Order: sequence, then C-alpha cells, then structure tokens
Amino acid sequence: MRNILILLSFMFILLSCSKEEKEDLPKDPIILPPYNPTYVDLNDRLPSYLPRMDIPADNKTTIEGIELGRALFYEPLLSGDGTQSCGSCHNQSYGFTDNGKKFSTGIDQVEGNRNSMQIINAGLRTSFFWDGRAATLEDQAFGPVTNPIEMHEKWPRAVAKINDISTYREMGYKAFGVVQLDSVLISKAIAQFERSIISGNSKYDRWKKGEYQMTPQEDYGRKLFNKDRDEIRDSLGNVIQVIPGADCFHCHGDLSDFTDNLFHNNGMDEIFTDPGREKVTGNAYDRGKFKVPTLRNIEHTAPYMHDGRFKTLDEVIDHYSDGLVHSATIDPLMKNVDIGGVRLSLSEKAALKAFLLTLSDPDFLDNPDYSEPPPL
Amino acid sequence: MNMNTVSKITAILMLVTSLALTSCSKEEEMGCWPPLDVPGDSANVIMIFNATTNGQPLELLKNFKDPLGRTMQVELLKFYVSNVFVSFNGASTLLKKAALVILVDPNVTDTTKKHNEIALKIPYGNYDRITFSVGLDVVQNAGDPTKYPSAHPLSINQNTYWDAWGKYKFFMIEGKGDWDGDGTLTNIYGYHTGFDECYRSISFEKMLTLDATNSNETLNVNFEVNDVFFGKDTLDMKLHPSWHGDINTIETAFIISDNFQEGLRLN
Repeated sequence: MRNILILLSFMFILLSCSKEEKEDLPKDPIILPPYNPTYVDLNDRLPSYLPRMDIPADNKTTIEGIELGRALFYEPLLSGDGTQSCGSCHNQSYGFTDNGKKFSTGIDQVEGNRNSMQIINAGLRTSFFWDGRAATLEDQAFGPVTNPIEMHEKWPRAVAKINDISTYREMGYKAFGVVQLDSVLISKAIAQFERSIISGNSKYDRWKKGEYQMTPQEDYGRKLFNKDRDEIRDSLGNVIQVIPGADCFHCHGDLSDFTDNLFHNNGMDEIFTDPGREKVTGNAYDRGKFKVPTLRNIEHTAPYMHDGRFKTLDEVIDHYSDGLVHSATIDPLMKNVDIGGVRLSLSEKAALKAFLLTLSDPDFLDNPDYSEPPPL
Repeated sequence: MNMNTVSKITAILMLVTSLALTSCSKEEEMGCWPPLDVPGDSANVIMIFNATTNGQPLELLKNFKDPLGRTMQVELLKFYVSNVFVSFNGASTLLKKAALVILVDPNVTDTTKKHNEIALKIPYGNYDRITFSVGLDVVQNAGDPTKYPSAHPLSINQNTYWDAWGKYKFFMIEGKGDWDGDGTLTNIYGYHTGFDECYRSISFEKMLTLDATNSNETLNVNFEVNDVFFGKDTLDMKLHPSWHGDINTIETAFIISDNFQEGLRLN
C-alpha cells in the first residue's frame, strides 16, 4: 500500500509539472515500466572524416527518444485536420524533401514560398531553414505544427491528441520518464529522430574509405569541384590560358559534409522578392542570402535552390557556369560573376555532374530505420 | 604466443599509451580559448588586433579608398595567430598555441565575445620581447578538425579548413571594389592564404614589467588594410582578384602574407 501511494504521488508530481497543465488526464492508464533509457552516441554512426555533432545537453539521444521521434515525425495527428505529418513534406525517398515539388502545400491548400529542405546529417547543421531562423533542431521541429501554411494546428490540441494514445504515453515515458508528453518533449523527440538520419555510405564515402575507385569522369568532376577557375595572363593582362574549375568547394567543401553551414548570395537574382537571411537578422547586407544545403543525395532532392527554380542538376550547373548575376550582396566567393560564372565546357559539366551523383546513398534512401513505422 | 611475447607487447602498448597521454596537453583537451595555465602568479594581458582603413577603424561594408583612389569594401577579415611567446634575454614562455582573430565576418552574430582579442596569462616578471605567428605551424596545420570541439579555433565550425588539401586557411580577406571607377562596387576580391609556406612569424621589442602592482596590460597590434595589398609588394587586385589554394599561383598568397607580416605594428 505504501509503495502504491509513493508511486501515485510521483505520478501526481509528474502530471502537475506538464507544460500543458490544462490537458485532460489520459483516458486509459498505462503500467509504468522502469525508466531506463538507452543512451546512444550518434557520432559513432558518422564516418570518421565527417565533423562531429553537438548534441544538446538537455536532449541527449536515446534509442527510445529516436523511436518516439520517428513515430511522431510520421504522425498526421500533429496537423490541424489529421492529414499531414512532417514526413508528408519530407519524403525519405527524396532525401527527405517534398516529392519533387517546388513548394509544399499545407493542410489548408496554401502553398509556401520556399522549397522543402532536405534532412540529411541534420545533426551537423548549425542553423535551420533556408534563412537560419531556428538555431537548433529542437527549435526547428517546434515550428511547422503551428505554422498556418503548414500543419496549422495549435500545440495544446496536438499534445492532447498524442496523449490520448496510450502507446505514445508509454513511449514518452520510456524516452523522457514522463507519462504525459508536451510540445517541448514532442519537439525534442522529433529532433532526436532527425539527428539519427545519417547519410555516410555513398560512392563518395566508399571512395573516402578506399572501397571504391571513382571512374575517370567522376574523379575529374571531383577535381573540378575542388578547384577555382583560374586565368593565366601575360604581362599585358591578356588571358593566355584558362585553368578550368567549378569553384564549388568554397561553400560546399567542408569535410565531406558538403556545406559550410553559412549563408551566401549565390548570384541568382539582381532584385530579391525573398529577402532570405535579412528577414532574420534585419541587416541589409544579408539580403538575398540563403543557407547552403548539403549536396549529399542531391540526385534525389530536386528541385533546387530556396525557391526550387531549377528542376534538374543540369540547370544548377548551368547557373554556376553561365548564369550568375550581380547584386549588391553577391558573395565575394562568386568571383566569376563578371563573366557569368565558371564557364565550364560540356565535358566539364558532365564530369561535375558525374561526381555529384557519387553523393547518392541508396542505403540512406532505403534505410528502414528512417521510414514510416507501422501504425501504433 | 608465449608469455614472453605477451609481456613485450604489453610493455610496448603501455609505453605507447603513456607517450600518447603525455603528448596530449591539458590545453588540447580543453580547447585553446582559455589562456595557457602558467605556474605561480601571473598577469592578465589582452592582445587586441585593430584594423584601419586610411586611419579609420575598419567596418563591415564601409567604403574606403585604396592608394590608387579606388573605392573598396571588406566583407570578411579573419586570421590565425599562433605560438604567442614572451621572452627575456632570449628565454621564452609560450602563452598561446592558436587563436582565431575575427575582425569582420557577417556570419558571426555572437557579440558577447570580442573576436579581435586574445587573452593571455603571463607570469610575473620582466620581458623584452613578444613573438607570435600568423597562420598555424606545420603540426597544427596538419591537424584533424574533427578532433576539436565546435568552439575550438581549429574546429571545422570556424570555416577555416580546406578539405580538399587537408590544410587550414591562415588569412582570409574578401570584399568588393570599384576597379573601373564607374561608381559601382562590382569587382570582387577574395584571398585565402594557407599552406605551410605562408606561415609568418612576427617579433616586437616590448618591455613589460608584470607584478602585483601591474597585473593587467593591453597590447594593441594594429594594421592598415591597404598595406595588405599595397605593402612591401603590390598586389594587382584587378589582375589577380583571388587566391584560394592554387599552388601554381601561390605568389599571390606570398604577397598577402608578406605584406601583412610587414604591416603589423605593436602600440
């Protein structure tokens, strides 16, 4: 009897500490197992040559947290009409982008104005969304549920729907030691799952590990990727030789992560309809700057750029080769803007594309750990 | 495998382990931001790097004139300072292994930290010289950025690593200019020096007496941005608007490295 009273008291304290205090108590009680989560170091799952993840001290990764997050990631009850989940616009087969769509459509059939970002090695990112408005994955995961042009739900309603399901309460207890989830814990669980989505077994990765030999074309593309376009001039300043280079590495070269995690204006527009990073910082010098996405699995994440304007990789390569335009905030790394770009030949473009295709990771795209789990 | 062989292997393993442990300094474990611990009483000395454009403090995207009368701006300026020593009669004390000095970087939004300052702890005593280097020495330059925590100056998060060459960038300056005088800043420049050949050391005579009555000092290291391009050697920025690691044109990086070395002044 004494033990039961202690357990009841403990449950009362837990319930009284919940963020959504006005929620109804669960309808069907669950039997609490011991709270004993299995901690996991996601950095152990990363290839050694990738940077390390900074895991937040208040959201250590656990097997149970990832499992809960995965279920919630694919849970349409988080949306206002129960039709959309995170996974609706972030399809694993498309590198967790929106099924080849330029823009995503929310539950009210309202279309957004930015292309759905991929979720690939998200634990290595230092900011989220095209304009970097979220500093952490937890912050990022918190936003779409209430965004009126996305899932358009109110958190208390979403939380109530989740807590009405005893399996979620049980999973929540295993993951966080509480019997009622709240919006913060739901976001934390989704963030844990997103952090676990790791790509590290592409042809490129196997080449890094010495397990794959690139074709001559792929290897030439790799060299172009990591090379500036240079001009050799005579004493009068006349160009006597052009050394081809695609200049990709400045923004996409860091440690096989294929992004510098920064914001750049990459010469797409003279006048901006979307202010990009400026919307977050308020600084005019950030106008038209957008976050550099990783190029991993780029074969599957079309269309490209923040507004999905390029349907194919060929169009992207053409842009950097010949389509750059000047603007006040263009990045100094776009140093060939005066001649439209790096001016690649057809064979150089083909080689660069061949290299980019080595970043595709079929194991990632088919990994059952990242797919929609069976219904609860 | 007999016991004798096992004993030999065990002894070798223990030796290797102990060598590995002793070669990992406390500073390497903690990162290089805190000043090196020094024995005994010490003074707190701040080394501040200041850049000017024609005598005015350098500001992000603020127009200034180069010696040819052309308008230009700086959008990024950061560099590594390493192996900071003070010495007296030739006997040196290491104060800092590596720090990243950031003078202009629109991506750095943390204003709580002074990115142009290096905090040093110097043991009480008399000194007649301070020495430091721009860039990273051979060992640091060959380091693996994945081994450092994200706030460490050598971490990949500092965006100073060339993955393609497995080396760090030592000195980075980027911006725009109006080379043709049409009133628009449509010309772009960007120089990222690096490779061991661009490592430069600087030494200044500096009398320092540090004791309980004088335990806080500030050392200002100043330079004029124009001197980076128009110093001992002149860089034709129109002809050579960038350098990003092409060994065939490393002369451009040498000009930047030498000019910056020559242009630093200790006040």
